[in-house]
Amino acid sequence: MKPANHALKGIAASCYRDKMLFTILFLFVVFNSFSQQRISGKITDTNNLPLPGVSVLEKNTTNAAASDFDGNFEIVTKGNNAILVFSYLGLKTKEIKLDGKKVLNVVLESDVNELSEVVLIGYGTQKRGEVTSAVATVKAKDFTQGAVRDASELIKGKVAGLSISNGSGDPSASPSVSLRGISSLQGGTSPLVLINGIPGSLNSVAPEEIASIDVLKDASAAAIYGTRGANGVILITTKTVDKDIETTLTFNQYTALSNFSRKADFINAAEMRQLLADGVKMPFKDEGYTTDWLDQISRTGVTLNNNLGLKGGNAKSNYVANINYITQEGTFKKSYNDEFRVSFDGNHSMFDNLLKINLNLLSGRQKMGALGDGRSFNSNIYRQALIRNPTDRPQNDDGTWTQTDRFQYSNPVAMIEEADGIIENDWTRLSSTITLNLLPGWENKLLLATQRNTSFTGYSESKKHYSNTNQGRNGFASRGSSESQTDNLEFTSRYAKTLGNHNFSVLGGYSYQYNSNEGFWANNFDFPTDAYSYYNLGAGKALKDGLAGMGSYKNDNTLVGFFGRASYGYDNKYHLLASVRREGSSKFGTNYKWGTFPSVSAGWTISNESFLKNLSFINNLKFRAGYGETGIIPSDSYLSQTLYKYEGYFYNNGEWVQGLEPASNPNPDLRWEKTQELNLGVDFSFFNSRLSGSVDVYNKKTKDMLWNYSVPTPPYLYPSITANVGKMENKGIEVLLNIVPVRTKDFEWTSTMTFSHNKNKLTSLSNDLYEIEGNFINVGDAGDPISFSTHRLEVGQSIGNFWGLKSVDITDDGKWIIETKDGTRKTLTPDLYNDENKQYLGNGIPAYYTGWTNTFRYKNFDLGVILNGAYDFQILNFQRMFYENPTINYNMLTSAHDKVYGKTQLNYSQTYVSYYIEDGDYVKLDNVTLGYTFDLKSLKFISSARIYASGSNLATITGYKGIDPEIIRNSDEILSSGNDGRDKYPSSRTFTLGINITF
Amino acid sequence: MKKLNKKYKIALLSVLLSCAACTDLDETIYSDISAEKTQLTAEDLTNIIAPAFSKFRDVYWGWNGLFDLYEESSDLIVTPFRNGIGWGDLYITMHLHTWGPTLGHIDGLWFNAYAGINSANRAIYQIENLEGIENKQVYINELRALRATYYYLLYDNFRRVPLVTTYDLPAGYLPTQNTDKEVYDFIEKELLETIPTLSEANTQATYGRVTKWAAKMTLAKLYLNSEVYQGTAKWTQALSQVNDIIDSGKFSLASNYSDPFVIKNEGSVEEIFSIPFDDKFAGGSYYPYKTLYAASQSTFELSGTPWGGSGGIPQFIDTYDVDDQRLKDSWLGGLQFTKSGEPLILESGQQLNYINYMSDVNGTEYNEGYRFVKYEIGSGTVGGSANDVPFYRYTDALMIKAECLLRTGNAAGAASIVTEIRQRAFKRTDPDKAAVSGAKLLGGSVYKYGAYANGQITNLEGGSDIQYGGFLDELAWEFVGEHHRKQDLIRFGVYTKKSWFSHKPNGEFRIVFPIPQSQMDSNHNLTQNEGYN
Repeated sequence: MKPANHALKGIAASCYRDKMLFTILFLFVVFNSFSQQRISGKITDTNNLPLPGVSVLEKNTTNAAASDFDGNFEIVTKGNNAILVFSYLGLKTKEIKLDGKKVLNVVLESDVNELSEVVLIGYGTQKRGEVTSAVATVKAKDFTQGAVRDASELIKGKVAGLSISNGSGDPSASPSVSLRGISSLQGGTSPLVLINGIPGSLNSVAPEEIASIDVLKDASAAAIYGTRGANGVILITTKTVDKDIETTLTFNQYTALSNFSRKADFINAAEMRQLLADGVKMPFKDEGYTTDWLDQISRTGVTLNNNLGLKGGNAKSNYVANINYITQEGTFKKSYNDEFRVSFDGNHSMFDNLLKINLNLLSGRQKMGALGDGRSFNSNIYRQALIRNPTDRPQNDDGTWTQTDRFQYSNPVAMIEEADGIIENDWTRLSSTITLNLLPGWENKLLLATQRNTSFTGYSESKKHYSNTNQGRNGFASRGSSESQTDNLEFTSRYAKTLGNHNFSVLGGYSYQYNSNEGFWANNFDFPTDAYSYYNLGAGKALKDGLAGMGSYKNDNTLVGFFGRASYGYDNKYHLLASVRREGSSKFGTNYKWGTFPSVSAGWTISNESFLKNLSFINNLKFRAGYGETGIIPSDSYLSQTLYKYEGYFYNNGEWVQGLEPASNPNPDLRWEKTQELNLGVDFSFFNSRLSGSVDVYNKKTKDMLWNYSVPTPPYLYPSITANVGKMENKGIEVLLNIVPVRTKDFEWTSTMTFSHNKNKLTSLSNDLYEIEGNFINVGDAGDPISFSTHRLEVGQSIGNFWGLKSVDITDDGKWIIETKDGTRKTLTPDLYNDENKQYLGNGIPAYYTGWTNTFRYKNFDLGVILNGAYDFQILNFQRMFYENPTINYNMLTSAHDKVYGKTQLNYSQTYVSYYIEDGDYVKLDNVTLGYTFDLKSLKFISSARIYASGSNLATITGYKGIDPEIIRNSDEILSSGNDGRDKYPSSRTFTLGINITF
Repeated sequence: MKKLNKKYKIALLSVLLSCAACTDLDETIYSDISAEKTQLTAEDLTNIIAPAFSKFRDVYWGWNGLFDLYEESSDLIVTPFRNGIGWGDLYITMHLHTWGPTLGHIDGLWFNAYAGINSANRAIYQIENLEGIENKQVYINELRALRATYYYLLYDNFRRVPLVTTYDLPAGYLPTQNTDKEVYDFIEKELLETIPTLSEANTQATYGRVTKWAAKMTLAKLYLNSEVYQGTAKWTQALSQVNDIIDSGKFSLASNYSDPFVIKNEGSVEEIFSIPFDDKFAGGSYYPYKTLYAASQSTFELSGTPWGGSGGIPQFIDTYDVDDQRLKDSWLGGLQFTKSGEPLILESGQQLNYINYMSDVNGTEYNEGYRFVKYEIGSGTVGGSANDVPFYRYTDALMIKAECLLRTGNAAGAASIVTEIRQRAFKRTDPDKAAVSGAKLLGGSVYKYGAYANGQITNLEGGSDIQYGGFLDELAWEFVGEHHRKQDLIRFGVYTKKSWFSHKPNGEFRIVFPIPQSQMDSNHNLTQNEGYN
């Protein structure tokens, strides 16, 4: 660059010398010569960061220059009143007419709304304008800010059809994610998560490290991932560098405070005394103290997050490194989550870009408190705090914990203080990609990756824990460890060619994935001392007594795929894409080792047709249609095999001998669940891109759905078998709208709205071999002592239907009056607890979701406001079902003494009736973030700085009486969706203060 | 460039082709056992037969086990709904005789008994294919007799069950039900055929195994109930089977009624066939937890808090003679004390007092009803107790003999046997009360049948009209909690005729349980028993 500048300067100098000659020439050639000028200036992005390597071209000439590390450029123009073209990948190209100016400070805006935005489609990229299936992209600048837990929270409410539920306040819990409804009964709802192309989890990388998240929503996009694609695919791309860049260091820090967003209203000590004074029959007597048990076990949780990012290099060799440390305290005492995550991404290209090498490292360590054996949160502690006598105290005068022999009633403070535990997870992923560009447009890529996750748990209970004081275990301890390893090999070859208006590209590839899991655990009790905690397991006497426990396991599986894809585009109007994957897994039965997953999609950019070109208000209008087939793989290995196990001891002549018996049935037909999906969509952008968005409708049919069937023995060896039988349908619509209502120099308001609706229907649970009589199964468990199923899974109905007794009234003496399906009214007694008297009572899965993200920018201030909502669903409020009842033997909600149906107090034991099922509709103010970006042009060593304050889970508009209508939706509990557990870790409200500095 | 290109292509192709692992989808099994790759040998013999026996534990003390079916549907024990505690609603239909095909208990019995039958079939099949074993037939015959015992239990409860006698069945085979008579005949035939070959010993080696005497007990039971089963009484056949047992001299009455029920009861002189349990290897009974109130934990120093639960029906408790030692040996009642003898004071300040009183099956207080404690409760009991279940005991053989004598006109002979058994119960209190007359055994029951609520019999039916009612009472006092009562009530015509506590008769067909819904669901060949459609 420097020599080139010198050359230009040289030319300029000689020109000056020959000024006279040029003056004469000017007389003849009006638009020439005279205008030769030296133009200089600085190029920055909208954040005022200097942009190096920006190409500066004098329009219609080959006269070009590039900006240096500080974003400065200099060019000597040749033409009169030249136009300079500033271009840079990922930023909007800008043309500036000089009009006599000699110094130009240019701000390049990012190119997000443009059709040239790069979209990941799996094993490759496309420009947004070429995409023919339903793919959503969210870039880092649009991520939700504040104390986010993992990648899913960054995009919550920003991708239509992707529902993210986050009902737990547990710092170690992950939000549950599902896309386009539920398409599997047992396979879960979690989309495939790929981090830079390699399977991982939403928690593997620090949110600060993520550059963009792409979501492949429909099967025509996800089919290339075969048996892993039916729940959609989330592609996470970490930050990388591919250009000349000055070494920059960014530092992000935030501090957050969390509290319960809402507390269940249980009777407190004063209220208890009043009730006792009023002669109300209570399960407790006044012990004379006042204790807020929830206060005793909870606190304000403090979160500190520090992130340091470093990037640098040039177009040939560059790197990004990131270090993240977060320490989070839960709102319950001793509940915490500390994570340390590092990542490194290095690129080098040589032989004139013929060969590119990428090395990527992701590593992390997570430490969590465990107040249960191998569990981070011991829900029983919370339960005990709610139901304990508020007039009792935690400790007796002699310092011992208060304890009674009431059934299932123990001291929650003691449970926290006398237990100690840890869960440590470590993960390391190393990957390298070698890219060979043999011919222009032909790219061959070999990816090798290995990932190791290990987990360690330790847990102990002291001699003062109720496990000893009540159960005589005399100190308990356990340890466990597990390790999983995944090796990936992937080879892809891609060729792209443009011939005139025709664009072609073909891709072929092979992928191999081997995964193994193993683990070990042991426990022991009866320890001589509490001092060992869980560090000296052998010291317990129970081992010698033959009462300690131990176990270990290992399993593995292999997934192999061949895939290909071809795309064709004509004149930016017509785009076609077809892909196929042939995939085999060791988990499948011998008769179905390999499956084929095809897809085809097409797009018509009608706005590029000549008849619409003149309508200037249309920036883009494209219709898309796609069809694809995807699958869900069985979760466990060896399900197709006949296995034996040693189980059940037999007394043989004074000795106990183990029995050898079948552990599973053979199923050579075991295979993937198959989902066929048709997707129709339209993308639009109007009024200078002030209004843009997309609408998608889909119809998703799943067949060969896996279900664990009860089978008769004989002829079967084992009473259950996992078989592919069920069928299910999901239909829905998704709308994304991006609006820029106001855009002025100082003030901009952008608004993104998402809306989705899904309708689910189970269409079959039987075939010739496997059948379920009556085509229904009752599922879900209300829990001891309420011996009820909460839901029914029935052919022709939706997943998540509540099934139970419909209460309509109450008798004068406080007994439930129920109404059966035929309208008969009956006074409830336990012998009526059968299916004849039950009916459908609602559905626990929201039919509609909305998300509304607003960003306001005024000068250096920015304000983000995010509202999320879910509608048309019911929640079974377990806290009310168990504790809004004055007959129970424990503390209860203050509402327990309210009149039921406005008539009289309840006088009936805990049971499951529709009275406890409530509408769950809500709109939540999920996040508000106010930021200020400092103007630091004058400072040399800091190039930008921003501070922000953020609040999350701030307010909820709902009729739901429970703690939070955004309930936990665990993947393994989808069949009983809508149950709001009585012990769930209550969600928290968090306030965050943060700073981002770039050096 | 082109050359390189070609070379590269070839290299790549050869890598892909030579890599055998590229498409290798074979599974490696680590912590499981692949059936295909396992070759059984003579050394595996004990492991092969083990499951056929160990399933008997599940039949008896698996959750919702056999105990509940025979006791809780009867007039002896009930698990009412406990106010403020809950969970008893599971058992209410059993008490009221309003159960349907989804009753968890019948599911458990069917499932576990067939698990035993299938295990026996599999073991027979595997033994037949084993090499290097002498006396294969001895093992096979014992398994056949064991299988017949499982079938006897299924038959007693369901009657029309599918007879599956081989392991090697074609794919897609679905069992079909056999007729009532076919099942009866099969059990009889299998036992008659195998009895001559079974062991006559009563040693540690035969403990928990099916000896000749165990098989004869099953056969005797089949004959004893033959009139109910097949409409033909077989008192003499039953008598002859138990006479063989009595005459063998291998068994005798234990000196104390509670001896067969202590924790270390293995080897008791009374036990003819037992289901072995162990606190480490084979945990079983959860009954102390199911029946006791939470606070009783400190009486027995249990390692967990009981949830209880079940109680004796006051009308039955009232039938006991106050001097009958069996009342105290079987039931826990009155004011309670801790292990060290201190009064057991509740949070309320009152001493725990189990009262012989009940309100209503749909709602009782925590302390209503005596608690069944016939099996010794060990301190520190973790989950299951170690007491073996004396499935057939010598007293049972004697009482079958007595009943057969009574029913065939020898009331005096019956009375002398019953008296002999009663002597244990009264020897420390009032030995004179042990004697019982033939007339008393022939006469009515002292059980005050009739609807009962809140401590009052509201509609007295009485038991004086029950033929051999005196003998029926003796059976209850001796065998309460020993999987007897349902069968006895049916044989004496009381089960579907009389009312007790909240129960009232609810159909003659209830002497047989419905085929479990879960089985109907998985096998469409099955048809439902009469009365349950």
